[in-house]
Amino acid sequence: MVFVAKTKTPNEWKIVAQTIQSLVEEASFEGTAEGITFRAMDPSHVALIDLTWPNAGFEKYDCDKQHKLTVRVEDFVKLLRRAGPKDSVTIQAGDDDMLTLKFQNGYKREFQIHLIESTYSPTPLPKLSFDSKMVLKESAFEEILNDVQTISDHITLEATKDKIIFTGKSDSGSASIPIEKGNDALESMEVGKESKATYSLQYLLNIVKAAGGATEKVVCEYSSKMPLKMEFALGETGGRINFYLAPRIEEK
Amino acid sequence: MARFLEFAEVADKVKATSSKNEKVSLLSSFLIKLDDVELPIACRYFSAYLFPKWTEKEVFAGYSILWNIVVELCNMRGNELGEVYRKYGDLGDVVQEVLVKRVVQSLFKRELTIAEMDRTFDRIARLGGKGSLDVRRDMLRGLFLDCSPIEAKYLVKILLGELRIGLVEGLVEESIAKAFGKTLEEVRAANLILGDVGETASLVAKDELDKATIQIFRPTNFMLAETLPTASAIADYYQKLVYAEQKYDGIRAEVHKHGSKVKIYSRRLEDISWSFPDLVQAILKIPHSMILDGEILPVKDDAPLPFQDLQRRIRKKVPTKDIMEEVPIVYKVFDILYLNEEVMIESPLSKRRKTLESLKLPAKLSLSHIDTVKNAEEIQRAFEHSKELGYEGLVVKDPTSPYWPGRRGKYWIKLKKELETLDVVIVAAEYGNGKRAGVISDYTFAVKNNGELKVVGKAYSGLTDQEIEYMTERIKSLLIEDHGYRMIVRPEIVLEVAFDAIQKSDRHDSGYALRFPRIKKIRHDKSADEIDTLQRVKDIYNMQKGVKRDG
Repeated sequence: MVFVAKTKTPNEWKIVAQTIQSLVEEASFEGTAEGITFRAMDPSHVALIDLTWPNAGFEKYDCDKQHKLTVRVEDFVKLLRRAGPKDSVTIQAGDDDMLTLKFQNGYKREFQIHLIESTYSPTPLPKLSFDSKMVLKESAFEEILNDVQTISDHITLEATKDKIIFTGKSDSGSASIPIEKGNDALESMEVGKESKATYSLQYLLNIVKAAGGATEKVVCEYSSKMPLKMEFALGETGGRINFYLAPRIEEK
Repeated sequence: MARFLEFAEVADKVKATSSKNEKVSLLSSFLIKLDDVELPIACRYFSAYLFPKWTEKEVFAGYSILWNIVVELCNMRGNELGEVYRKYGDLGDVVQEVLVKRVVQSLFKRELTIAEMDRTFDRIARLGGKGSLDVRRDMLRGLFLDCSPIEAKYLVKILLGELRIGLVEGLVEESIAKAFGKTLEEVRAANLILGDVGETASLVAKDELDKATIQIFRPTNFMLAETLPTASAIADYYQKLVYAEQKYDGIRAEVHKHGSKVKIYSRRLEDISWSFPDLVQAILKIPHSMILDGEILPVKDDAPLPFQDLQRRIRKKVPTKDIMEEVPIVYKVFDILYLNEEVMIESPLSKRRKTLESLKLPAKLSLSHIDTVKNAEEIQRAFEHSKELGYEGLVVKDPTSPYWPGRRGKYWIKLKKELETLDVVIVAAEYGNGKRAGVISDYTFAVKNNGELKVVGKAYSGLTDQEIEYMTERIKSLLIEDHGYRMIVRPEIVLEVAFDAIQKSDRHDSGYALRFPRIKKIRHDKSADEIDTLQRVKDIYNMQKGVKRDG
């Protein structure tokens, strides 16, 4: 039984672990010959993370059969924090119920943590089709979310043929941020059908702050009153973090 | 796989009928359809608890967290939920009504089965450490998102530990008996021993009732005593030699010990070991596996301290060294249920007592004091002696009796003197819950002290429905300040209240509080000028302390 995955730097692992930490307590990584995957919902069942990290994204990757590696996210993040920016990271599992993390840059450091028993059953993916798709600059998107949060706890996305408007409303006032096609913040936009939906800002901000760190852009897809899907690239070899969030029901 | 929705629908039907037979047949025909995972869970839920009582597991979902979740999920403003609550007086009923206005939804609906509910509660109970408060909230939130309104109603009721559908655990026992062709007696006996209606149901369904026995680290219900008013009534009843045992005013506690492990359980079968590390240490010195029954009481220099000193000690999560020295305790052992693999509950009390006497008890443990008595005079003498020592009275026990878990019968009869009553005046009142929603049924009352009124307690029991209706109108007419829930009223209504004891307390401005107050009658004949004084409260307090320790 072998599982070894090595990356040149700890950056990607840090992003993965932080993203997961923003949503769940325990994480079950699935290791197969093709790479690492992870999928889980938050405890409220409002949001879902779906991670795919193909073997091409690693400097060294070896996995003889399917491995399920469940860790307490807090422990995992704590260890990763110890890795310096230029350390290579090797993650290893064998027959004992331990996960080994090795950091190397000059000298070697080795940590082991206990794997835990997962109590959750597998999470399915929602079956969705999307009417609207935008590719936004990550930094601009984060700004927009922060802007609207000054007014409201949730944000409404309204996409028409040539622009998208982000709005927020509460008893204290309102915010409106229209972005037209061609603006630098909006790399591309396809609207098959005009779409309007409202989402919780807390979830969006948590995920964008955690997963957006390594990427320049975010792909957002949604339809009216339907879940939002966001995609963040993880490295340059096909890794990605997908995030799904249920909409709020519009009040009359 | 039975859905939680089916549970909720059956519960609604049980509520809708007032016939006990119909309730039992509705329940039994539901229980018989369940698989062996679901059956114990459903039986617990119908009895309004989440886990076997003896486990330490808890979900910690009280009114305020549930209230806040509902307000958030429905995006309610101000006191919107409070308004609806006033109409129903039951948060479960409220949730059923308002939940259709949910603005938050989950990504996809999970079908909630009875087993899935249990798994989620179990996960919540296992949470701990940093951030676990948020996760608990989110897990509960997730349940509310996937529940239909009727399911959410019962989710709330189960979490709050009160179904209010006219079902008591006794009827659940009856339904189990009916579903699996056993007698109620058999089911009840097993449930009293096991202290878990869920496991009882499992054993009944598997036809393994013979396995329902006392086990170490599984607390069983305490045997209880009847009350008779006088020594002669007790003597007349027994007409033979009996044990007159001093009755101690402390905390009834069941001690389990095996190897290097000790657990102390309360009357409610909750683990209270952490409150008594000094006692745990002492028990560890006894070289046996055993289950003991007895009373923990605060004792200093051989005299009992007031019960409230013990409460002061328990209120600290982990008692400090100081308080352990200030309020030393002793465990008065009066029964043994199990010793070194032998279950002793069927043995007569005389044999159990001999067994106890043969044990070498370390400091902090001592045997209860018993006198063997044969007539009313001797019982009376033992009673007075017990009172002189500062104890509560007597429990008179039949030496031939078995230990009968959870039963109140005449194998044990207690004799204790009721305290006097106090005349008090109502100064504030609150709306009731549940059956008493919409009526003002909780009263705060006071005694007088040099022209001022000083609050000594709060009572909610003792009045008939008609009386409560009358009080509701009367209180509304005396209103001074309305705080929504709580009303301050002109002090005019005089009540006569009984109580178990008077304690020092900083909860009320009098500095005293009545323990277990109950309303004896409304004193229409008395005015507020005629109520009792704080001085009288102090006198009763001093008197009940009994022995003067400084003399």
